[in-house]
Amino acid sequence: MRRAAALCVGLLGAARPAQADPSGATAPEATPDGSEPGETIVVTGSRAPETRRGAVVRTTVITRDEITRSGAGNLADLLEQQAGLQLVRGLRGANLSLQGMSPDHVLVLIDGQRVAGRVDGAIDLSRIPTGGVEQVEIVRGPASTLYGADAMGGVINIITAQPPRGPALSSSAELGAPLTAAATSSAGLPLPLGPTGGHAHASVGRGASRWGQRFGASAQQLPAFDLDPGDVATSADAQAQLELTGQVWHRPNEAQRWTLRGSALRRRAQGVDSAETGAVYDRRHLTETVGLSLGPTLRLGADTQLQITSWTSFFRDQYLLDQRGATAEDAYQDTRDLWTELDLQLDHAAGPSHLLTAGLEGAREALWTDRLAGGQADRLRGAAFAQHTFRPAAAPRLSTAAGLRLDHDTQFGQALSPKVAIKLDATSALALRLSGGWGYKAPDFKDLYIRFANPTANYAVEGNPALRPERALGANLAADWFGPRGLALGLEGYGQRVTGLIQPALTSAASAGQAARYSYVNVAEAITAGAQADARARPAPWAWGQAGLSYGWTVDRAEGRPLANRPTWMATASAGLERPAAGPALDARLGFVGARPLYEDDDGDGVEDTVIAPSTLNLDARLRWRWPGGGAVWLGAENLLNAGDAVASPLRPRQLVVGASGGLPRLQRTQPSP
Amino acid sequence: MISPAPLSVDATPLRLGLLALILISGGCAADLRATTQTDDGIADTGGPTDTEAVGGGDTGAPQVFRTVIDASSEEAWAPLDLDAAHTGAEPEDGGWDLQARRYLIALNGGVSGEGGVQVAILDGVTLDGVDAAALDALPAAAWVSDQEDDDGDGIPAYALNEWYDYDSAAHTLSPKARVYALRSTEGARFALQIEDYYDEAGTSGHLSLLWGAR
Repeated sequence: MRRAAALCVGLLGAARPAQADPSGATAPEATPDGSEPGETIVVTGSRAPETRRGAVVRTTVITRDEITRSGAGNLADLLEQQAGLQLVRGLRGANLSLQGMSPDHVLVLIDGQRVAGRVDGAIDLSRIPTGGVEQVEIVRGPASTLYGADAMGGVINIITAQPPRGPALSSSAELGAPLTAAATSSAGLPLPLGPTGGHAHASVGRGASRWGQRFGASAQQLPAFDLDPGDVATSADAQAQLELTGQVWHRPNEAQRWTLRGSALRRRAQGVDSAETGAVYDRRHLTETVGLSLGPTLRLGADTQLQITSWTSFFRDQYLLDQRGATAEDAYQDTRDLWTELDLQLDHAAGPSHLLTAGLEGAREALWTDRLAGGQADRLRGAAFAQHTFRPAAAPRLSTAAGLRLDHDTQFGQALSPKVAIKLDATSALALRLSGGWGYKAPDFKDLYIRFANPTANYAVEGNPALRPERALGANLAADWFGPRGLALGLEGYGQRVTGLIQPALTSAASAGQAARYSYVNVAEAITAGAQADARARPAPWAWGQAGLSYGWTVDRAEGRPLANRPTWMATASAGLERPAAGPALDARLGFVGARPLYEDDDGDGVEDTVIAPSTLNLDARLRWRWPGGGAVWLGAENLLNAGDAVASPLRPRQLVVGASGGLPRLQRTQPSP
Repeated sequence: MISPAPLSVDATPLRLGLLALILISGGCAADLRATTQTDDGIADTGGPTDTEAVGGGDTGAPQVFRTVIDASSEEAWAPLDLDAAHTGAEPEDGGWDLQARRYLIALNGGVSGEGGVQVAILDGVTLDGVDAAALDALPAAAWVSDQEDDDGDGIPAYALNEWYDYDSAAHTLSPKARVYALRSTEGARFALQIEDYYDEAGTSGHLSLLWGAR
């Protein structure tokens, strides 16, 4: 019975799933799956705390220490350094592609809740600062019934830090400036630096046995940059962003925990576009997101708990195109999206080895924009899911998770998605995992209705109300081996067949009279498959390293060609030397993204031509000096090889960064202490 | 064993937290248009066409006028009465000689109008090189007007249908190097050259014509 009790008390923190109770009172005394105590706790695969090594669904974790070492100020820069993750950078931000699936098939969560404010169908990850993040969890593939639409490619769950008992403060700031020879010669600066940008984050919190609160503020300002001096257009927008977050939790007794969370984000972006006609446009975006959630986690007896979460988010995106010297092609678009959702999840530990999870989800989404034919659209979605997790108490350890999910959409009806995952601990050091299942995603408002015209590139996109939902059948097979000196080797293969994959397609070529017109179509069938190998090691207390290599293959069966913008090869490598605990640290990171096809009608004949986006090799390096207690200063250089181009890979040019961080005391880690 | 904190302490952070959440949630409402000047100080030009003399006349050479037709509307045709523009008179109702809508140019003749306007295409010459004698030498068959749709695209076969070259990579229209002889509604003859399709700001649908009486 000890196992069941440990499982259930661990669940009480799961209203915000990844958090062990900040008081420490509910942290598991022993891990229920035989893993080493003190190991990293993950929640994304099962929506309940479990150790990373014990999780039935393979979960990649980026810890706080790794975030610190990465030097990444936002989530996009952080994930870009991970094996097998493809950052797709564009004018509207940076999105993540997983296992060959496009960014709108990747679900992004913060503390288990969906991040609001999809732009063009995907979350801009560069808007999420890493300052208050304790851990990032990545689940690849459609392995879990617990998440519905958007999770066909995988789930990214961002776990925020919790305050320890008593007050806590955490802060960091970084300034960056591009190293440009032109600035030296024309402005005579003592250092060859271009416009300065930077980001800062501060978080304060206070925790006690019955309550806790944490508030954070982060600001980010980035200058625009131009990789093509041949025109006046910028390659990336200047950005200014402010985000405020707050969280209050209260535990009136041992059986209840209430959590109230809110966030507000405002982001301005500004860039310059130009057209071959000679027209120049100033383009501005103002994005505002407000979210609020409230819900209790209720313990219903020793082995059962109920999580109730209600949340709402409001997202407004304004777009203004101002033609210089004229008003003829000025444009303004105002898009507002209100999402309201109520989730219920019941967890019951039936004996020492069985965990039953069942839940209901109901959501309403309303959209207002003049880009819609009627100006407004709304829909209701609902889902019911159930999952059974089995973890045997004794060897051989063959753990399983099987579940069923029923999605209902007022526009598209019902869809049933069974899923299953199996984990075999072949030895104490070797774990094999197999997971698979069906995925389902109804078309979103963008795909169905939205109109968008871009006069600078002479194209227009129109939604397609005749779209059908996408269905997917996928499987992941993985092996993880853990050796001495922190050595961990992982190998994962995946395959997914998607029917009705929604892709943009040219519907009429540009001509003298009209812009090229694109819409969305259900590709008859698409297949993505690939493999990934990753390794990490700490051969000595003062040295660490990790590397990953991924291969991806995709095919659009209707067109007989690879899916657009998917590289065949990607690789990452990072290594560092550091004096343990405090003192100097030196680290470097290398990222490679292979060549990938893009499809555009370049000659106006109505047939898309294949353009190969070149590969990129990105190198960063950083020297840090750390003090006991968490303070640090650093000096770094980013994109040392000056990778990137104006068309396919608008990477920020080589730049110098300086930064500092500190706090007192440090915010608490999410995983329980050994 | 952890002692529960006093209730009075519990309530304070909750209230503070609620207040902070309300405050941070109230920051939305700015309208991007309210903070951005977009009219560029542009004055209303007052009409769809604008004509000015740009050369000739005093030197004995035929006078050259430049007319810019604002044909940027997707729906409305912008007419040009060359006879009136030449004399400075007010355009007459129904007296237009040609009209433009985006990149389409229609004549007041053939299937497009009842003014009897015709054009003849003169390749390999410049506007200055076309004089009355050159027009006199044109065979009658060279003078054409707008015809019925001949390719099923729903658009009449305008006599000036092929005034441009389309760069499908840059998506731009460039006028062909040719001159058009035009016989107006009043029977006057003009030499006409299409100069540009874009204004200085790069806006399409601003048809710039150089022309003169012959």
